[in-house]
Amino acid sequence: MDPYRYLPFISRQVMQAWADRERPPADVAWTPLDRPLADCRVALITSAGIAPRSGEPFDQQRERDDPWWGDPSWRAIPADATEADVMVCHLHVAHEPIERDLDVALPARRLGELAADGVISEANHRHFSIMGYVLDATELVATTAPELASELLADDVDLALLVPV
Amino acid sequence: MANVIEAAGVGTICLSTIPPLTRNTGAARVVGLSHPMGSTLGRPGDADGQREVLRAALEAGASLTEPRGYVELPFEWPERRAEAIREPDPPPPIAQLLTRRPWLLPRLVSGRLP
Repeated sequence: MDPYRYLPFISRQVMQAWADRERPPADVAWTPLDRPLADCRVALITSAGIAPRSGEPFDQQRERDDPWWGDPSWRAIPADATEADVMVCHLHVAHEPIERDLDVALPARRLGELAADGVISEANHRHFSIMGYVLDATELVATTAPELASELLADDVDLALLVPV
Repeated sequence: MANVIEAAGVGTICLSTIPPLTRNTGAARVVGLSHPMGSTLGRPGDADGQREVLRAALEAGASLTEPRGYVELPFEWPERRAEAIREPDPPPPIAQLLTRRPWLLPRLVSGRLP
Protein backbone atom coordinates (compact mmCIF):
# COMPACT_ATOMS: atom_id res chain seq x y z
CA MET A 1 0.00 0.00 0.00
CA ASP A 2 1.03 3.62 -0.49
CA PRO A 3 0.70 4.80 3.13
CA TYR A 4 0.47 8.45 2.11
CA ARG A 5 -2.03 8.02 -0.70
CA TYR A 6 -4.94 9.86 0.90
CA LEU A 7 -2.98 12.80 2.29
CA PRO A 8 -2.92 16.23 0.65
CA PHE A 9 0.52 17.18 -0.73
CA ILE A 10 1.88 19.19 2.23
CA SER A 11 0.57 16.74 4.85
CA ARG A 12 2.25 13.96 2.90
CA GLN A 13 5.63 15.72 3.06
CA VAL A 14 5.27 16.39 6.79
CA MET A 15 4.10 12.86 7.69
CA GLN A 16 6.92 11.30 5.63
CA ALA A 17 9.47 13.47 7.41
CA TRP A 18 8.01 12.53 10.80
CA ALA A 19 8.05 8.82 9.94
CA ASP A 20 11.70 9.10 8.85
CA ARG A 21 12.63 11.04 11.98
CA GLU A 22 10.83 8.87 14.53
CA ARG A 23 12.93 6.09 16.04
CA PRO A 24 11.10 3.32 17.85
CA PRO A 25 12.03 2.90 21.51
CA ALA A 26 14.53 0.13 22.15
CA ASP A 27 12.06 -1.72 24.36
CA VAL A 28 8.59 -2.15 22.95
CA ALA A 29 6.16 -3.09 25.72
CA TRP A 30 4.21 -6.27 25.02
CA THR A 31 1.28 -7.82 26.83
CA PRO A 32 0.51 -11.20 25.27
CA LEU A 33 -3.17 -11.90 24.67
CA ASP A 34 -3.67 -14.76 27.10
CA ARG A 35 -7.00 -15.80 25.60
CA PRO A 36 -8.62 -16.10 22.16
CA LEU A 37 -10.23 -13.01 20.64
CA ALA A 38 -13.63 -14.65 21.19
CA ASP A 39 -12.99 -14.45 24.95
CA CYS A 40 -11.77 -10.84 24.99
CA ARG A 41 -13.53 -7.73 26.30
CA VAL A 42 -12.59 -4.98 23.85
CA ALA A 43 -12.53 -1.19 24.19
CA LEU A 44 -11.92 1.42 21.50
CA ILE A 45 -9.67 4.48 21.69
CA THR A 46 -10.23 6.91 18.84
CA SER A 47 -8.14 9.99 18.10
CA ALA A 48 -11.08 11.81 16.51
CA GLY A 49 -11.54 14.32 19.35
CA ILE A 50 -15.01 13.04 20.21
CA ALA A 51 -16.52 14.43 23.41
CA PRO A 52 -19.94 13.83 25.01
CA ARG A 53 -22.20 16.88 24.64
CA SER A 54 -22.90 16.64 28.37
CA GLY A 55 -19.24 17.36 29.20
CA GLU A 56 -16.31 19.59 28.31
CA PRO A 57 -15.32 19.77 24.64
CA PHE A 58 -11.64 19.44 23.68
CA ASP A 59 -10.12 22.92 23.82
CA GLN A 60 -10.11 24.15 20.23
CA GLN A 61 -9.92 27.87 21.05
CA ARG A 62 -6.52 27.51 22.70
CA GLU A 63 -5.28 25.74 19.54
CA ARG A 64 -6.66 28.54 17.37
CA ASP A 65 -4.75 31.00 19.57
CA ASP A 66 -1.59 28.84 19.56
CA PRO A 67 -1.51 26.50 16.53
CA TRP A 68 1.53 24.64 17.89
CA TRP A 69 -0.60 23.41 20.82
CA GLY A 70 -3.19 20.61 20.82
CA ASP A 71 -5.42 19.47 23.70
CA PRO A 72 -3.82 16.29 25.19
CA SER A 73 -6.77 15.32 27.44
CA TRP A 74 -9.14 12.36 27.01
CA ARG A 75 -12.86 11.66 27.19
CA ALA A 76 -14.94 8.56 27.97
CA ILE A 77 -17.88 7.88 25.66
CA PRO A 78 -20.71 5.49 26.58
CA ALA A 79 -20.85 2.54 24.17
CA ASP A 80 -24.44 3.38 23.25
CA ALA A 81 -23.71 7.05 22.39
CA THR A 82 -25.19 8.22 19.10
CA GLU A 83 -24.20 11.06 16.77
CA ALA A 84 -26.65 13.29 18.68
CA ASP A 85 -24.88 12.66 22.00
CA VAL A 86 -21.37 13.74 21.00
CA MET A 87 -19.43 16.52 19.32
CA VAL A 88 -16.39 16.23 17.09
CA CYS A 89 -13.66 18.59 18.38
CA HIS A 90 -10.81 18.17 15.90
CA LEU A 91 -9.63 20.99 13.65
CA HIS A 92 -7.62 18.70 11.31
CA VAL A 93 -10.24 16.35 9.91
CA ALA A 94 -13.48 16.91 8.01
CA HIS A 95 -16.27 16.47 10.55
CA GLU A 96 -19.05 15.65 8.13
CA PRO A 97 -18.42 11.88 7.66
CA ILE A 98 -18.06 11.36 11.44
CA GLU A 99 -21.08 13.49 12.30
CA ARG A 100 -23.12 11.52 9.76
CA ASP A 101 -21.93 8.16 11.06
CA LEU A 102 -19.90 7.95 14.27
CA ASP A 103 -18.78 4.42 13.41
CA VAL A 104 -16.35 5.62 10.73
CA ALA A 105 -14.11 6.88 13.57
CA LEU A 106 -15.52 5.21 16.71
CA PRO A 107 -16.98 1.87 15.58
CA ALA A 108 -18.90 1.17 18.79
CA ARG A 109 -22.05 -0.16 17.08
CA ARG A 110 -19.97 -2.40 14.82
CA LEU A 111 -18.05 -3.70 17.85
CA GLY A 112 -21.35 -4.50 19.59
CA GLU A 113 -22.42 -6.46 16.51
CA LEU A 114 -19.15 -8.43 16.53
CA ALA A 115 -19.82 -9.29 20.19
CA ALA A 116 -23.32 -10.48 19.26
CA ASP A 117 -21.76 -12.60 16.49
CA GLY A 118 -19.27 -14.13 18.95
CA VAL A 119 -16.15 -12.69 17.26
CA ILE A 120 -15.28 -11.04 20.59
CA SER A 121 -16.67 -11.83 24.02
CA GLU A 122 -17.88 -8.36 24.90
CA ALA A 123 -17.68 -4.71 23.88
CA ASN A 124 -16.72 -2.59 26.89
CA HIS A 125 -19.56 -0.44 28.29
CA ARG A 126 -17.61 2.69 27.33
CA HIS A 127 -14.94 3.76 24.90
CA PHE A 128 -12.40 6.58 24.87
CA SER A 129 -11.26 9.48 22.72
CA ILE A 130 -8.24 11.68 22.50
CA MET A 131 -7.70 14.45 19.95
CA GLY A 132 -4.93 13.35 17.62
CA TYR A 133 -3.22 16.67 16.85
CA VAL A 134 -0.73 16.91 19.71
CA LEU A 135 2.74 17.92 18.48
CA ASP A 136 4.37 17.87 21.92
CA ALA A 137 3.58 14.39 23.22
CA THR A 138 5.03 14.96 26.71
CA GLU A 139 1.69 15.24 28.54
CA LEU A 140 0.09 12.60 26.33
CA VAL A 141 2.71 10.07 27.39
CA ALA A 142 3.16 11.25 31.01
CA THR A 143 -0.50 11.75 31.95
CA THR A 144 -3.11 10.81 29.35
CA ALA A 145 -1.82 7.35 28.41
CA PRO A 146 -1.32 6.20 32.06
CA GLU A 147 -4.80 7.50 32.96
CA LEU A 148 -6.35 5.65 30.02
CA ALA A 149 -4.45 2.50 31.00
CA SER A 150 -5.90 2.76 34.55
CA GLU A 151 -9.43 3.14 33.17
CA LEU A 152 -8.97 0.11 30.90
CA LEU A 153 -7.65 -1.97 33.80
CA ALA A 154 -10.54 -0.83 36.01
CA ASP A 155 -12.96 -2.02 33.30
CA ASP A 156 -11.17 -5.40 32.99
CA VAL A 157 -10.52 -4.73 29.30
CA ASP A 158 -8.42 -7.43 27.62
CA LEU A 159 -7.73 -5.62 24.38
CA ALA A 160 -7.79 -1.96 23.30
CA LEU A 161 -8.13 -1.10 19.62
CA LEU A 162 -6.64 2.29 18.77
CA VAL A 163 -8.43 3.92 15.85
CA PRO A 164 -6.71 6.90 14.22
CA VAL A 165 -8.40 9.51 12.11
CA MET B 1 0.28 5.81 23.81
CA ALA B 2 0.08 2.10 22.91
CA ASN B 3 3.46 1.47 24.51
CA VAL B 4 2.26 2.89 27.86
CA ILE B 5 -0.99 0.90 27.79
CA GLU B 6 0.85 -2.31 26.91
CA ALA B 7 3.32 -1.69 29.74
CA ALA B 8 0.37 -1.35 32.14
CA GLY B 9 -0.83 -4.82 31.12
CA VAL B 10 -3.54 -4.25 28.50
CA GLY B 11 -2.99 -5.63 24.99
CA THR B 12 -3.33 -3.12 22.15
CA ILE B 13 -3.88 -3.18 18.42
CA CYS B 14 -3.13 0.05 16.53
CA LEU B 15 -5.12 0.42 13.36
CA SER B 16 -3.16 2.79 11.12
CA THR B 17 -3.71 4.58 7.83
CA ILE B 18 -0.06 5.78 7.96
CA PRO B 19 1.75 2.64 9.12
CA PRO B 20 5.36 3.88 8.72
CA LEU B 21 4.64 6.55 11.33
CA THR B 22 2.71 4.29 13.71
CA ARG B 23 5.27 1.48 13.48
CA ASN B 24 8.08 3.86 14.43
CA THR B 25 6.33 4.95 17.64
CA GLY B 26 6.92 1.57 19.25
CA ALA B 27 3.39 0.19 18.98
CA ALA B 28 3.12 -3.49 19.89
CA ARG B 29 0.72 -4.56 17.10
CA VAL B 30 0.04 -2.45 14.01
CA VAL B 31 -2.61 -3.16 11.39
CA GLY B 32 -2.18 -1.09 8.21
CA LEU B 33 -5.18 0.04 6.18
CA SER B 34 -5.27 2.17 3.03
CA HIS B 35 -8.28 4.32 3.93
CA PRO B 36 -8.54 8.14 4.00
CA MET B 37 -7.95 9.95 7.29
CA GLY B 38 -11.21 10.69 9.03
CA SER B 39 -13.06 7.74 7.50
CA THR B 40 -10.90 5.04 9.00
CA LEU B 41 -13.46 2.23 9.16
CA GLY B 42 -15.18 3.00 5.86
CA ARG B 43 -17.85 5.16 4.30
CA PRO B 44 -20.65 6.66 6.40
CA GLY B 45 -23.71 4.41 6.32
CA ASP B 46 -21.80 1.35 5.06
CA ALA B 47 -22.32 -0.79 8.18
CA ASP B 48 -21.43 -4.07 6.44
CA GLY B 49 -18.16 -2.65 5.10
CA GLN B 50 -17.24 -1.11 8.45
CA ARG B 51 -17.95 -4.37 10.29
CA GLU B 52 -15.81 -6.30 7.81
CA VAL B 53 -12.88 -3.91 8.32
CA LEU B 54 -13.27 -3.95 12.12
CA ARG B 55 -13.44 -7.73 12.25
CA ALA B 56 -10.40 -8.08 9.97
CA ALA B 57 -8.43 -5.56 12.04
CA LEU B 58 -9.16 -7.38 15.32
CA GLU B 59 -8.46 -10.84 13.91
CA ALA B 60 -5.27 -9.78 12.10
CA GLY B 61 -4.00 -7.81 15.12
CA ALA B 62 -4.76 -10.60 17.58
CA SER B 63 -2.87 -13.07 15.37
CA LEU B 64 0.43 -11.15 15.79
CA THR B 65 2.70 -12.93 18.23
CA GLU B 66 5.82 -10.73 18.30
CA PRO B 67 6.37 -7.16 19.57
CA ARG B 68 6.20 -4.58 16.75
CA GLY B 69 4.20 -7.06 14.68
CA TYR B 70 2.70 -5.67 11.50
CA VAL B 71 0.03 -6.85 9.11
CA GLU B 72 -1.69 -5.08 6.23
CA LEU B 73 -5.39 -5.39 5.40
CA PRO B 74 -6.35 -5.87 1.74
CA PHE B 75 -9.24 -3.39 1.59
CA GLU B 76 -9.34 -0.78 -1.17
CA TRP B 77 -11.18 2.51 -0.91
CA PRO B 78 -13.99 2.63 -3.49
CA GLU B 79 -13.52 6.29 -4.52
CA ARG B 80 -10.82 7.97 -6.57
CA ARG B 81 -8.07 9.66 -4.55
CA ALA B 82 -9.27 13.19 -5.24
CA GLU B 83 -12.79 12.32 -4.06
CA ALA B 84 -11.53 10.44 -1.01
CA ILE B 85 -9.47 13.32 0.41
CA ARG B 86 -11.77 15.49 2.50
CA GLU B 87 -10.06 18.48 4.04
CA PRO B 88 -11.47 20.43 6.97
CA ASP B 89 -13.01 23.80 6.26
CA PRO B 90 -11.59 26.14 7.51
CA PRO B 91 -8.06 24.70 7.26
CA PRO B 92 -6.39 23.76 10.58
CA PRO B 93 -4.85 26.68 12.51
CA ILE B 94 -1.31 25.38 11.86
CA ALA B 95 -1.98 25.32 8.09
CA GLN B 96 -3.30 28.88 8.21
CA LEU B 97 -0.26 29.99 10.19
CA LEU B 98 2.18 28.30 7.79
CA THR B 99 0.43 29.91 4.82
CA ARG B 100 1.14 33.29 6.42
CA ARG B 101 4.63 32.35 7.68
CA PRO B 102 5.99 29.54 5.46
CA TRP B 103 9.49 29.88 6.93
CA LEU B 104 8.12 28.16 10.07
CA LEU B 105 7.44 24.90 8.16
CA PRO B 106 10.86 23.39 9.08
CA ARG B 107 9.86 23.79 12.75
CA LEU B 108 6.81 21.60 12.16
CA VAL B 109 8.79 19.01 10.21
CA SER B 110 11.70 18.82 12.67
CA GLY B 111 9.59 18.93 15.83
CA ARG B 112 11.61 21.87 17.21
CA LEU B 113 8.46 23.72 18.20
CA PRO B 114 8.54 27.50 18.74
